[in-house]
Amino acid sequence: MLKIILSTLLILLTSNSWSAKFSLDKFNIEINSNFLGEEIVLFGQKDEENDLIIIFEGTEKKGNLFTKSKKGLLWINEKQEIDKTPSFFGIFSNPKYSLNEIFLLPTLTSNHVLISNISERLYQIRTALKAKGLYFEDELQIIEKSLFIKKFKIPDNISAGDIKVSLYEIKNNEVINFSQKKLNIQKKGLTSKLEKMLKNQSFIYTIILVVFSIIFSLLSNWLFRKR
Amino acid sequence: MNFYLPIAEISINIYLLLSLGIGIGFISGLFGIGGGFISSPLLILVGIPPAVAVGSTTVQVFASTSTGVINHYQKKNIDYQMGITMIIGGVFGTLTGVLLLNNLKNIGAIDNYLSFIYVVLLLGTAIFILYETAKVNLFYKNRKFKLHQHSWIHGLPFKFKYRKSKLYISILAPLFIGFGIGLLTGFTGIGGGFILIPCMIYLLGMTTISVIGTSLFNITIISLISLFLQITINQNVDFILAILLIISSSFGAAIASRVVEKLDQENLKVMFGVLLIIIASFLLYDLFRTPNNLYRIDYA
Repeated sequence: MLKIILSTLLILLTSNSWSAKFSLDKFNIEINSNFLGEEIVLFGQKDEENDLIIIFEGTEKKGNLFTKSKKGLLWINEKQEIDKTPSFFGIFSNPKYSLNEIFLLPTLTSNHVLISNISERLYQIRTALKAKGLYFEDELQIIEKSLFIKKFKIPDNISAGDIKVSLYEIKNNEVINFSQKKLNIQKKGLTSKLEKMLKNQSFIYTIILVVFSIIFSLLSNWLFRKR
Repeated sequence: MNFYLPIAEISINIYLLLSLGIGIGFISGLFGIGGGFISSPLLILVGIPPAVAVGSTTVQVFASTSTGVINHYQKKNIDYQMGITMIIGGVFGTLTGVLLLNNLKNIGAIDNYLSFIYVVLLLGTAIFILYETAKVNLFYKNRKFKLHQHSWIHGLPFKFKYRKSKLYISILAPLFIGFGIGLLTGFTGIGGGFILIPCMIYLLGMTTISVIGTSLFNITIISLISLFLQITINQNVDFILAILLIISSSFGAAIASRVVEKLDQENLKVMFGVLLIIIASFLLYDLFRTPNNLYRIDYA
Protein backbone atom coordinates (compact mmCIF):
# COMPACT_ATOMS: atom_id res chain seq x y z
CA MET A 1 0.00 0.00 0.00
CA LEU A 2 2.92 2.30 0.83
CA LYS A 3 4.20 1.82 -2.74
CA ILE A 4 0.87 2.95 -4.18
CA ILE A 5 0.82 6.03 -1.94
CA LEU A 6 4.42 6.95 -2.79
CA SER A 7 3.93 6.47 -6.54
CA THR A 8 0.74 8.56 -6.44
CA LEU A 9 2.61 11.25 -4.51
CA LEU A 10 5.36 11.18 -7.17
CA ILE A 11 2.80 11.67 -9.94
CA LEU A 12 1.26 14.56 -8.00
CA LEU A 13 4.68 16.13 -7.51
CA THR A 14 5.71 15.87 -11.14
CA SER A 15 2.46 17.35 -12.47
CA ASN A 16 2.66 20.83 -13.86
CA SER A 17 -0.20 22.38 -11.94
CA TRP A 18 0.56 23.76 -8.48
CA SER A 19 -3.02 23.60 -7.20
CA ALA A 20 -3.55 21.28 -4.26
CA LYS A 21 -4.48 17.69 -4.99
CA PHE A 22 -5.47 14.81 -2.79
CA SER A 23 -6.28 11.14 -2.85
CA LEU A 24 -7.27 8.30 -0.52
CA ASP A 25 -5.70 4.87 -0.27
CA LYS A 26 -9.16 3.41 -0.92
CA PHE A 27 -12.45 4.69 -2.27
CA ASN A 28 -14.64 1.72 -1.36
CA ILE A 29 -15.23 0.23 2.08
CA GLU A 30 -17.28 -2.90 2.64
CA ILE A 31 -19.12 -3.51 5.89
CA ASN A 32 -19.22 -7.25 6.44
CA SER A 33 -19.23 -9.53 9.50
CA ASN A 34 -15.49 -8.91 10.02
CA PHE A 35 -15.84 -5.13 9.86
CA LEU A 36 -14.15 -3.45 12.82
CA GLY A 37 -13.81 -0.04 11.26
CA GLU A 38 -11.29 0.83 8.54
CA GLU A 39 -8.13 2.91 8.54
CA ILE A 40 -8.05 5.51 5.78
CA VAL A 41 -4.93 7.23 4.49
CA LEU A 42 -5.53 10.70 3.12
CA PHE A 43 -2.57 12.13 1.21
CA GLY A 44 -1.69 14.71 -1.42
CA GLN A 45 0.19 17.81 -2.41
CA LYS A 46 -0.26 21.48 -1.58
CA ASP A 47 1.37 24.81 -2.20
CA GLU A 48 3.53 25.70 0.78
CA GLU A 49 2.13 29.24 0.78
CA ASN A 50 -1.52 28.24 0.87
CA ASP A 51 -3.69 26.75 3.58
CA LEU A 52 -5.64 23.56 3.12
CA ILE A 53 -8.89 22.27 4.60
CA ILE A 54 -10.27 18.84 3.72
CA ILE A 55 -13.77 17.95 4.88
CA PHE A 56 -15.28 14.45 5.03
CA GLU A 57 -19.06 14.60 5.09
CA GLY A 58 -21.16 11.42 5.41
CA THR A 59 -24.64 10.79 4.01
CA GLU A 60 -27.23 13.18 5.36
CA LYS A 61 -29.84 11.37 7.43
CA LYS A 62 -32.87 12.14 9.57
CA GLY A 63 -32.53 11.28 13.22
CA ASN A 64 -33.10 12.22 16.81
CA LEU A 65 -30.85 14.15 19.14
CA PHE A 66 -31.16 13.22 22.82
CA THR A 67 -29.96 15.61 25.48
CA LYS A 68 -29.55 14.34 29.03
CA SER A 69 -30.73 16.66 31.75
CA LYS A 70 -30.98 16.06 35.46
CA LYS A 71 -34.47 15.97 36.92
CA GLY A 72 -34.41 15.24 40.61
CA LEU A 73 -31.93 12.41 41.06
CA LEU A 74 -32.35 10.93 37.60
CA TRP A 75 -30.83 11.85 34.25
CA ILE A 76 -33.65 12.14 31.71
CA ASN A 77 -33.36 12.23 27.90
CA GLU A 78 -34.96 15.10 26.02
CA LYS A 79 -35.57 14.43 22.34
CA GLN A 80 -35.22 16.81 19.39
CA GLU A 81 -35.87 15.63 15.84
CA ILE A 82 -33.11 16.50 13.40
CA ASP A 83 -33.45 16.83 9.69
CA LYS A 84 -30.72 16.03 7.17
CA THR A 85 -27.58 15.87 9.27
CA PRO A 86 -24.36 14.21 8.12
CA SER A 87 -23.84 10.82 9.72
CA PHE A 88 -20.06 11.38 9.70
CA PHE A 89 -17.93 14.52 9.67
CA GLY A 90 -14.20 15.11 9.61
CA ILE A 91 -12.21 18.35 9.26
CA PHE A 92 -8.51 18.06 8.46
CA SER A 93 -6.46 21.16 7.89
CA ASN A 94 -2.96 22.59 7.56
CA PRO A 95 -2.16 24.79 9.33
CA LYS A 96 -4.64 23.75 11.99
CA TYR A 97 -7.88 25.69 11.67
CA SER A 98 -10.14 25.99 14.69
CA LEU A 99 -13.91 25.86 14.17
CA ASN A 100 -14.09 29.59 14.95
CA GLU A 101 -11.68 30.29 12.08
CA ILE A 102 -13.67 28.02 9.74
CA PHE A 103 -16.87 29.92 10.60
CA LEU A 104 -15.24 32.96 8.96
CA LEU A 105 -15.02 31.18 5.60
CA PRO A 106 -18.46 31.57 3.96
CA THR A 107 -17.75 29.09 1.14
CA LEU A 108 -17.25 26.33 3.68
CA THR A 109 -20.13 27.27 5.98
CA SER A 110 -22.57 27.42 3.06
CA ASN A 111 -21.45 24.03 1.71
CA HIS A 112 -21.54 22.07 4.98
CA VAL A 113 -24.64 22.12 7.15
CA LEU A 114 -22.90 20.88 10.30
CA ILE A 115 -20.60 23.90 10.40
CA SER A 116 -23.06 26.36 8.86
CA ASN A 117 -23.46 28.44 12.01
CA ILE A 118 -22.41 28.72 15.65
CA SER A 119 -25.75 27.57 17.06
CA GLU A 120 -25.93 25.45 20.20
CA ARG A 121 -27.98 22.83 18.36
CA LEU A 122 -25.16 22.20 15.86
CA TYR A 123 -22.67 22.13 18.72
CA GLN A 124 -24.80 19.44 20.41
CA ILE A 125 -24.97 17.39 17.19
CA ARG A 126 -21.19 17.66 16.72
CA THR A 127 -20.62 16.61 20.35
CA ALA A 128 -23.00 13.66 19.95
CA LEU A 129 -21.22 12.55 16.77
CA LYS A 130 -17.82 12.96 18.48
CA ALA A 131 -18.99 10.71 21.34
CA LYS A 132 -19.71 7.99 18.78
CA GLY A 133 -16.34 8.50 17.06
CA LEU A 134 -18.08 9.97 14.02
CA TYR A 135 -16.63 13.48 14.21
CA PHE A 136 -12.98 14.51 13.79
CA GLU A 137 -11.03 17.74 13.86
CA ASP A 138 -7.34 17.24 13.21
CA GLU A 139 -4.25 18.62 11.51
CA LEU A 140 -2.79 17.29 8.27
CA GLN A 141 0.76 16.05 8.70
CA ILE A 142 3.24 17.75 6.34
CA ILE A 143 6.08 15.72 4.83
CA GLU A 144 8.68 17.09 2.43
CA LYS A 145 7.36 20.69 2.55
CA SER A 146 4.50 20.35 0.03
CA LEU A 147 3.26 16.84 0.67
CA PHE A 148 0.68 15.99 3.30
CA ILE A 149 -0.65 12.80 4.82
CA LYS A 150 -3.23 11.89 7.45
CA LYS A 151 -4.26 8.49 8.76
CA PHE A 152 -7.55 8.10 10.59
CA LYS A 153 -10.04 5.39 11.36
CA ILE A 154 -13.58 5.14 10.03
CA PRO A 155 -15.38 3.59 13.05
CA ASP A 156 -17.41 0.37 13.00
CA ASN A 157 -20.68 2.23 13.64
CA ILE A 158 -20.44 4.16 10.35
CA SER A 159 -23.60 4.29 8.23
CA ALA A 160 -23.54 2.93 4.70
CA GLY A 161 -23.56 5.52 1.91
CA ASP A 162 -21.24 7.98 0.19
CA ILE A 163 -18.85 10.20 2.12
CA LYS A 164 -18.12 13.41 0.20
CA VAL A 165 -14.48 14.44 0.54
CA SER A 166 -14.06 18.15 -0.26
CA LEU A 167 -10.74 19.94 -0.61
CA TYR A 168 -10.52 23.70 -0.09
CA GLU A 169 -7.27 25.55 -0.85
CA ILE A 170 -7.22 28.87 0.93
CA LYS A 171 -5.18 32.01 0.42
CA ASN A 172 -5.77 35.22 2.38
CA ASN A 173 -9.02 33.82 3.78
CA GLU A 174 -10.37 33.17 0.27
CA VAL A 175 -11.04 29.76 -1.25
CA ILE A 176 -8.92 29.65 -4.41
CA ASN A 177 -9.33 26.00 -5.31
CA PHE A 178 -12.01 23.38 -4.67
CA SER A 179 -12.20 19.71 -5.60
CA GLN A 180 -14.35 16.81 -4.45
CA LYS A 181 -14.19 13.00 -4.40
CA LYS A 182 -16.40 10.28 -2.99
CA LEU A 183 -15.66 7.49 -0.58
CA ASN A 184 -18.27 4.76 -0.88
CA ILE A 185 -19.28 2.66 2.12
CA GLN A 186 -21.63 -0.25 1.62
CA LYS A 187 -22.86 -3.25 3.52
CA LYS A 188 -21.95 -6.55 1.86
CA GLY A 189 -22.38 -10.25 2.40
CA LEU A 190 -24.24 -11.70 5.39
CA THR A 191 -24.47 -8.32 7.15
CA SER A 192 -26.28 -6.74 4.22
CA LYS A 193 -28.53 -9.77 3.64
CA LEU A 194 -29.62 -9.95 7.29
CA GLU A 195 -30.40 -6.24 7.45
CA LYS A 196 -32.38 -6.32 4.20
CA MET A 197 -34.27 -9.41 5.30
CA LEU A 198 -35.15 -7.85 8.67
CA LYS A 199 -36.49 -4.74 6.97
CA ASN A 200 -38.20 -6.21 3.91
CA GLN A 201 -39.04 -9.82 4.83
CA SER A 202 -39.73 -9.76 8.57
CA PHE A 203 -41.82 -12.93 8.45
CA ILE A 204 -39.08 -14.97 6.75
CA TYR A 205 -36.51 -13.50 9.19
CA THR A 206 -38.68 -14.69 12.11
CA ILE A 207 -39.15 -18.17 10.63
CA ILE A 208 -35.40 -18.60 9.96
CA LEU A 209 -34.54 -17.34 13.43
CA VAL A 210 -37.08 -19.68 15.06
CA VAL A 211 -35.85 -22.70 13.06
CA PHE A 212 -32.20 -21.86 13.80
CA SER A 213 -32.84 -21.32 17.50
CA ILE A 214 -34.68 -24.65 17.84
CA ILE A 215 -31.96 -26.50 15.88
CA PHE A 216 -29.10 -24.87 17.83
CA SER A 217 -30.88 -25.39 21.11
CA LEU A 218 -31.55 -29.09 20.43
CA LEU A 219 -28.04 -29.56 19.08
CA SER A 220 -26.45 -27.88 22.08
CA ASN A 221 -28.61 -29.89 24.49
CA TRP A 222 -27.59 -33.08 22.70
CA LEU A 223 -23.90 -32.17 22.57
CA PHE A 224 -23.57 -30.94 26.14
CA ARG A 225 -26.07 -33.18 27.89
CA LYS A 226 -24.96 -35.34 30.81
CA ARG A 227 -23.87 -38.77 29.59
CA MET B 1 -11.25 -10.78 18.36
CA ASN B 2 -14.16 -8.53 17.48
CA PHE B 3 -17.25 -9.39 15.50
CA TYR B 4 -19.68 -7.05 13.76
CA LEU B 5 -23.31 -7.28 14.84
CA PRO B 6 -25.33 -6.13 11.81
CA ILE B 7 -28.52 -5.01 13.57
CA ALA B 8 -26.88 -3.60 16.71
CA GLU B 9 -24.45 -1.88 14.26
CA ILE B 10 -21.48 -2.25 16.56
CA SER B 11 -18.60 -4.68 16.78
CA ILE B 12 -18.18 -6.58 20.01
CA ASN B 13 -15.46 -8.78 21.37
CA ILE B 14 -16.58 -12.33 20.62
CA TYR B 15 -14.86 -13.75 23.73
CA LEU B 16 -16.73 -11.26 25.92
CA LEU B 17 -20.02 -12.20 24.29
CA LEU B 18 -19.36 -15.94 24.55
CA SER B 19 -18.25 -15.59 28.19
CA LEU B 20 -21.40 -13.63 28.90
CA GLY B 21 -23.52 -16.33 27.24
CA ILE B 22 -21.74 -19.11 29.14
CA GLY B 23 -22.19 -17.16 32.38
CA ILE B 24 -25.89 -16.59 31.73
CA GLY B 25 -26.37 -20.26 30.79
CA PHE B 26 -24.43 -21.36 33.88
CA ILE B 27 -26.59 -19.22 36.17
CA SER B 28 -29.75 -20.41 34.38
CA GLY B 29 -28.72 -24.04 34.76
CA LEU B 30 -27.65 -23.59 38.34
CA PHE B 31 -30.83 -21.91 39.51
CA GLY B 32 -33.34 -23.43 37.06
CA ILE B 33 -34.38 -20.16 35.44
CA GLY B 34 -34.68 -19.03 31.80
CA GLY B 35 -32.02 -16.37 32.21
CA GLY B 36 -33.78 -13.64 30.23
CA PHE B 37 -33.95 -11.24 33.14
CA ILE B 38 -30.18 -11.54 33.60
CA SER B 39 -29.13 -11.49 29.94
CA SER B 40 -31.02 -8.31 28.93
CA PRO B 41 -29.46 -6.07 31.62
CA LEU B 42 -26.02 -7.66 31.16
CA LEU B 43 -26.13 -7.09 27.39
CA ILE B 44 -27.07 -3.45 28.02
CA LEU B 45 -24.18 -3.14 30.48
CA VAL B 46 -21.67 -4.38 27.85
CA GLY B 47 -22.86 -1.79 25.33
CA ILE B 48 -25.57 -3.47 23.24
CA PRO B 49 -28.33 -0.91 22.48
CA PRO B 50 -31.22 -1.54 24.94
CA ALA B 51 -33.83 -2.24 22.23
CA VAL B 52 -31.54 -4.80 20.52
CA ALA B 53 -30.71 -6.41 23.89
CA VAL B 54 -34.43 -6.87 24.60
CA GLY B 55 -35.22 -8.22 21.11
CA SER B 56 -32.31 -10.64 21.00
CA THR B 57 -32.95 -11.92 24.53
CA THR B 58 -36.46 -12.91 23.40
CA VAL B 59 -34.86 -15.39 20.96
CA GLN B 60 -32.72 -16.85 23.74
CA VAL B 61 -35.80 -17.22 25.96
CA PHE B 62 -37.69 -18.94 23.12
CA ALA B 63 -34.77 -21.29 22.41
CA SER B 64 -34.18 -22.25 26.04
CA THR B 65 -37.87 -22.91 26.78
CA SER B 66 -38.86 -24.63 23.51
CA THR B 67 -36.75 -27.74 24.17
CA GLY B 68 -38.19 -27.92 27.70
CA VAL B 69 -41.71 -27.85 26.25
CA ILE B 70 -40.90 -30.84 24.03
CA ASN B 71 -39.78 -32.81 27.11
CA HIS B 72 -42.90 -31.88 29.09
CA TYR B 73 -45.15 -32.61 26.10
CA GLN B 74 -43.72 -36.14 26.01
CA LYS B 75 -44.30 -36.51 29.77
CA LYS B 76 -47.87 -35.07 29.41
CA ASN B 77 -47.19 -32.43 32.06
CA ILE B 78 -48.84 -29.53 30.26
CA ASP B 79 -52.27 -28.17 31.18
CA TYR B 80 -53.28 -26.90 27.72
CA GLN B 81 -56.56 -25.33 28.92
CA MET B 82 -54.71 -23.23 31.48
CA GLY B 83 -51.87 -22.52 29.06
CA ILE B 84 -54.17 -21.32 26.27
CA THR B 85 -56.16 -19.09 28.68
CA MET B 86 -52.93 -17.44 29.79
CA ILE B 87 -51.72 -17.16 26.18
CA ILE B 88 -54.92 -15.28 25.20
CA GLY B 89 -54.16 -12.73 27.93
CA GLY B 90 -50.49 -12.89 26.99
CA VAL B 91 -51.09 -11.92 23.35
CA PHE B 92 -52.65 -8.61 24.42
CA GLY B 93 -49.97 -8.11 27.06
CA THR B 94 -47.16 -8.76 24.57
CA LEU B 95 -48.61 -6.39 22.00
CA THR B 96 -48.95 -3.70 24.68
CA GLY B 97 -45.36 -4.34 25.84
CA VAL B 98 -43.86 -4.21 22.33
CA LEU B 99 -45.75 -1.00 21.49
CA LEU B 100 -44.68 0.51 24.82
CA LEU B 101 -41.05 -0.37 24.05
CA ASN B 102 -41.39 1.18 20.60
CA ASN B 103 -42.91 4.33 22.04
CA LEU B 104 -40.22 4.69 24.70
CA LYS B 105 -37.53 4.08 22.07
CA ASN B 106 -39.01 6.89 19.97
CA ILE B 107 -39.13 9.40 22.81
CA GLY B 108 -35.64 8.39 23.97
CA ALA B 109 -36.66 7.20 27.42
CA ILE B 110 -36.06 3.49 26.86
CA ASP B 111 -32.77 3.18 28.80
CA ASN B 112 -34.16 4.89 31.91
CA TYR B 113 -37.41 2.93 32.06
CA LEU B 114 -35.81 -0.43 31.22
CA SER B 115 -33.07 -0.03 33.81
CA PHE B 116 -35.64 1.01 36.41
CA ILE B 117 -37.86 -2.00 35.68
CA TYR B 118 -34.88 -4.38 35.77
CA VAL B 119 -33.76 -2.93 39.11
CA VAL B 120 -37.26 -3.43 40.57
CA LEU B 121 -37.51 -6.99 39.18
CA LEU B 122 -34.00 -8.02 40.22
CA LEU B 123 -34.22 -6.51 43.70
CA GLY B 124 -37.78 -7.82 44.19
CA THR B 125 -36.74 -11.34 43.24
CA ALA B 126 -33.56 -11.16 45.35
CA ILE B 127 -35.48 -9.99 48.43
CA PHE B 128 -38.13 -12.67 47.88
CA ILE B 129 -35.54 -15.45 47.52
CA LEU B 130 -33.46 -14.32 50.50
CA TYR B 131 -36.57 -13.84 52.65
CA GLU B 132 -37.97 -17.28 51.75
CA THR B 133 -34.60 -18.93 52.38
CA ALA B 134 -34.25 -17.18 55.73
CA LYS B 135 -37.86 -18.00 56.65
CA VAL B 136 -37.44 -21.70 55.96
CA ASN B 137 -33.99 -22.06 57.49
CA LEU B 138 -33.99 -19.62 60.39
CA PHE B 139 -37.51 -18.89 61.56
CA TYR B 140 -39.68 -21.88 60.66
CA LYS B 141 -37.26 -24.77 60.45
CA ASN B 142 -38.98 -28.17 60.15
CA ARG B 143 -42.41 -26.54 59.78
CA LYS B 144 -44.51 -27.58 56.76
CA PHE B 145 -46.19 -24.90 54.63
CA LYS B 146 -49.51 -25.22 52.91
CA LEU B 147 -49.00 -24.17 49.30
CA HIS B 148 -52.57 -23.72 48.19
CA GLN B 149 -54.75 -21.36 50.16
CA HIS B 150 -58.09 -19.89 49.08
CA SER B 151 -57.92 -16.18 48.42
CA TRP B 152 -60.02 -13.44 46.81
CA ILE B 153 -58.94 -14.78 43.42
CA HIS B 154 -61.10 -17.85 43.92
CA GLY B 155 -64.14 -15.60 44.40
CA LEU B 156 -63.89 -14.00 40.93
CA PRO B 157 -66.72 -14.60 38.39
CA PHE B 158 -66.66 -16.55 35.04
CA LYS B 159 -65.46 -19.79 36.58
CA PHE B 160 -64.11 -22.58 34.40
CA LYS B 161 -63.09 -26.15 35.10
CA TYR B 162 -59.40 -26.84 34.38
CA ARG B 163 -59.40 -30.64 34.33
CA LYS B 164 -55.68 -31.28 34.21
CA SER B 165 -54.96 -29.04 37.21
CA LYS B 166 -58.19 -30.09 38.97
CA LEU B 167 -59.16 -26.43 39.46
CA TYR B 168 -62.48 -24.63 39.22
CA ILE B 169 -61.54 -20.97 39.07
CA SER B 170 -62.38 -17.78 37.22
CA ILE B 171 -60.79 -17.47 33.77
CA LEU B 172 -60.05 -13.82 34.67
CA ALA B 173 -57.19 -14.84 36.98
CA PRO B 174 -55.08 -16.73 34.36
CA LEU B 175 -56.05 -14.13 31.73
CA PHE B 176 -54.66 -11.30 33.87
CA ILE B 177 -51.57 -13.27 34.87
CA GLY B 178 -51.00 -14.07 31.17
CA PHE B 179 -51.45 -10.39 30.31
CA GLY B 180 -48.91 -9.36 32.95
CA ILE B 181 -46.31 -11.90 31.81
CA GLY B 182 -46.92 -10.97 28.16
CA LEU B 183 -46.47 -7.29 28.99
CA LEU B 184 -43.18 -8.10 30.72
CA THR B 185 -41.96 -10.25 27.80
CA GLY B 186 -42.88 -7.67 25.17
CA PHE B 187 -41.42 -4.78 27.10
CA THR B 188 -38.29 -6.27 28.64
CA GLY B 189 -37.59 -9.44 26.63
CA ILE B 190 -37.61 -11.68 29.69
CA GLY B 191 -39.63 -14.90 29.86
CA GLY B 192 -40.98 -14.14 33.29
CA GLY B 193 -40.89 -17.71 34.61
CA PHE B 194 -39.60 -16.53 37.97
CA ILE B 195 -42.85 -14.56 38.41
CA LEU B 196 -45.19 -16.89 36.54
CA ILE B 197 -44.38 -20.03 38.53
CA PRO B 198 -45.05 -18.51 41.99
CA CYS B 199 -48.27 -16.96 40.57
CA MET B 200 -49.43 -20.36 39.28
CA ILE B 201 -48.63 -22.11 42.54
CA TYR B 202 -49.61 -19.52 45.13
CA LEU B 203 -52.35 -17.53 43.36
CA LEU B 204 -54.02 -20.12 41.12
CA GLY B 205 -53.25 -23.11 43.32
CA MET B 206 -51.95 -25.34 40.51
CA THR B 207 -50.22 -28.61 41.28
CA THR B 208 -46.42 -28.43 41.03
CA ILE B 209 -46.27 -31.28 38.50
CA SER B 210 -48.13 -29.38 35.78
CA VAL B 211 -46.80 -25.92 36.71
CA ILE B 212 -43.36 -26.28 35.09
CA GLY B 213 -44.65 -27.75 31.81
CA THR B 214 -47.55 -25.26 31.55
CA SER B 215 -45.36 -22.25 32.37
CA LEU B 216 -42.79 -23.37 29.76
CA PHE B 217 -45.60 -23.85 27.22
CA ASN B 218 -46.92 -20.36 28.00
CA ILE B 219 -43.48 -18.70 27.91
CA THR B 220 -42.52 -20.42 24.64
CA ILE B 221 -45.67 -19.31 22.81
CA ILE B 222 -45.58 -15.79 24.29
CA SER B 223 -41.88 -15.35 23.50
CA LEU B 224 -42.57 -16.56 19.93
CA ILE B 225 -45.36 -13.98 19.53
CA SER B 226 -43.15 -11.34 21.15
CA LEU B 227 -40.30 -12.26 18.81
CA PHE B 228 -42.51 -11.83 15.76
CA LEU B 229 -43.80 -8.48 17.03
CA GLN B 230 -40.28 -7.28 17.95
CA ILE B 231 -39.07 -8.11 14.43
CA THR B 232 -42.01 -6.57 12.57
CA ILE B 233 -42.60 -3.50 14.76
CA ASN B 234 -39.26 -2.69 16.38
CA GLN B 235 -36.81 -4.46 13.98
CA ASN B 236 -34.47 -4.94 16.92
CA VAL B 237 -33.51 -8.63 16.82
CA ASP B 238 -29.87 -9.25 15.95
CA PHE B 239 -29.59 -12.68 14.34
CA ILE B 240 -25.87 -13.18 15.04
CA LEU B 241 -26.09 -11.94 18.62
CA ALA B 242 -29.06 -14.22 19.31
CA ILE B 243 -27.45 -17.35 17.82
CA LEU B 244 -24.16 -16.75 19.70
CA LEU B 245 -26.13 -16.32 22.93
CA ILE B 246 -28.09 -19.55 22.37
CA ILE B 247 -24.97 -21.63 21.71
CA SER B 248 -22.89 -20.19 24.56
CA SER B 249 -25.71 -20.25 27.11
CA SER B 250 -26.47 -23.92 26.28
CA PHE B 251 -22.81 -24.69 26.99
CA GLY B 252 -22.99 -22.78 30.28
CA ALA B 253 -26.19 -24.60 31.26
CA ALA B 254 -24.51 -27.95 30.53
CA ILE B 255 -21.58 -27.06 32.81
CA ALA B 256 -24.04 -26.02 35.51
CA SER B 257 -25.92 -29.32 35.28
CA ARG B 258 -22.68 -31.15 36.13
CA VAL B 259 -21.90 -29.08 39.23
CA VAL B 260 -25.36 -28.30 40.56
CA GLU B 261 -25.73 -31.62 42.42
CA LYS B 262 -22.47 -31.06 44.28
CA LEU B 263 -23.62 -27.71 45.69
CA ASP B 264 -25.81 -27.04 48.69
CA GLN B 265 -29.22 -25.85 47.44
CA GLU B 266 -29.79 -23.36 50.24
CA ASN B 267 -26.36 -21.78 49.71
CA LEU B 268 -27.14 -21.62 46.01
CA LYS B 269 -30.31 -19.63 46.68
CA VAL B 270 -28.39 -17.15 48.83
CA MET B 271 -25.69 -16.83 46.13
CA PHE B 272 -28.40 -16.23 43.53
CA GLY B 273 -30.02 -13.53 45.65
CA VAL B 274 -26.66 -11.80 46.16
CA LEU B 275 -25.89 -12.03 42.42
CA LEU B 276 -29.20 -10.35 41.56
CA ILE B 277 -28.45 -7.57 44.04
CA ILE B 278 -25.01 -7.02 42.44
CA ILE B 279 -26.48 -6.72 38.90
CA ALA B 280 -29.24 -4.42 40.21
CA SER B 281 -26.60 -2.24 41.94
CA PHE B 282 -24.72 -1.74 38.66
CA LEU B 283 -27.94 -0.71 36.90
CA LEU B 284 -28.92 1.55 39.78
CA TYR B 285 -25.49 3.23 39.71
CA ASP B 286 -25.91 3.74 35.96
CA LEU B 287 -29.25 5.47 36.52
CA PHE B 288 -27.94 8.03 38.98
CA ARG B 289 -24.35 8.69 37.88
CA THR B 290 -23.47 11.70 35.75
CA PRO B 291 -23.43 10.44 32.14
CA ASN B 292 -20.18 10.53 30.15
CA ASN B 293 -21.98 12.03 27.17
CA LEU B 294 -24.75 14.56 27.58
CA TYR B 295 -25.74 14.33 23.92
CA ARG B 296 -26.65 11.27 21.88
CA ILE B 297 -27.66 11.01 18.26
CA ASP B 298 -29.67 8.15 16.75
CA TYR B 299 -30.31 8.03 13.03
CA ALA B 300 -33.56 6.76 11.57
